[in-house]
Amino acid sequence: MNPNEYAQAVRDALADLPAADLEELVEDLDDHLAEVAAESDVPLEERLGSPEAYAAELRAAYGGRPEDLVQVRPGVRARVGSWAAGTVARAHTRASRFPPYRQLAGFMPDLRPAWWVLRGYALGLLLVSISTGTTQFVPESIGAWLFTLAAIWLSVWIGRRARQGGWGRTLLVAVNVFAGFLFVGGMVAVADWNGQSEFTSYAPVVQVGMGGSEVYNIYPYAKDGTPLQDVRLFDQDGRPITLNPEINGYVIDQRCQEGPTPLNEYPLPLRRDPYVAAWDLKRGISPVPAPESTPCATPTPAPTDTVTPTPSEDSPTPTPSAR
Amino acid sequence: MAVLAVLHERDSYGYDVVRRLREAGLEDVGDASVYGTLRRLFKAGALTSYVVASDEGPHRKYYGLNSVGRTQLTESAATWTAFAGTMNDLLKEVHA
Repeated sequence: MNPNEYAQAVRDALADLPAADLEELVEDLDDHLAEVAAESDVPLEERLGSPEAYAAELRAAYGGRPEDLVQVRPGVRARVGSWAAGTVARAHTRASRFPPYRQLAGFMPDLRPAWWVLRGYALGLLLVSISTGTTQFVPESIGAWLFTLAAIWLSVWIGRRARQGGWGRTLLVAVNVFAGFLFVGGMVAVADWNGQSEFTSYAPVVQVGMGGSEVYNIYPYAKDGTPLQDVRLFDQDGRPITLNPEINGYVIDQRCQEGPTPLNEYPLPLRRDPYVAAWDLKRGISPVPAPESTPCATPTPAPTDTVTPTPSEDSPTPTPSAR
Repeated sequence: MAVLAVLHERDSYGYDVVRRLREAGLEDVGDASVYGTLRRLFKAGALTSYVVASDEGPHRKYYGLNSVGRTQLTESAATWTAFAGTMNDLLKEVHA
């Protein structure tokens, strides 16, 4: 094989390259091979190996691309992806000059498991809220707790699995972004309670009664025995006087409320805490009158054994409740 | 980088680069690798080239470093030196 034949064989082996690339690569190949051949009488094949092997080496040195990838052009998605990745990488490189950022970037990976737990919590509670139709920031029942824990477990399991490419990865990124917004949104919503808890914790909880019997509602009556509604009580310092009906298994009936009611507005529209009511049933106890029937229209003083408004001499004894 | 270093010494043509690399101790360097590398560096704009007519043989295309090539060589050399230093330190125990 003379140099020209050898060069032609190499060209043939590289025929799959784009024409411009090929031309540039083999431009001087003939001269170069002639030079090599001129130095010794040993045939080129023996000194340089087969033309195919020579071509493969040439290809590797020239482009460093494996043969089967030469013609593959990246799709739009891959190019956009690599552009985005490049932008992020450049920003990262630039920010890496600042030590605080380096430290942050250094321990961020350690926080990943914490994020897995948070996103599982957020998404699990979202599903609980959707399925129960009530917005829950903390699981309200055993079932909700179990479901949320399962969601956390699933989230951690996904997080621990090896990185995967393709649509699975894209989907995961989307879910992460969604969970991030959800979490921040939940935090903002919960933050609204800050003011309220300040209000209630500031207010004294009045405890009246001896031996464990506790006042959890107040029924004001006028001198002539007329039951009064929506009476707000304050102590000497102007602090609202509130009670603690939850301890006795009652909750304020929010169904009648338009917006938050002051907790010191009496009588409180109480109803039996549904969970406690279920518990009562189990134990075969039904100590509770059901104010649920007409909780809003005519707030019948909800009833208890202990609440007996002190009647004045001439007043009719107020009916304690619909027993 | 070896090709850049050889060309930094003096301008040279393809087969001469191969010869000089082999003399320098890189006996196994492939002719095609050197040729391909030269074309790649040229395409990347790190080399200038000019053709010199030769009396006894074919025309020779000489390659030389331009400023891009010199910068690339300096950077590569610094990287390599740092890496080699690290490896030497690591391997000190092995040799001892």
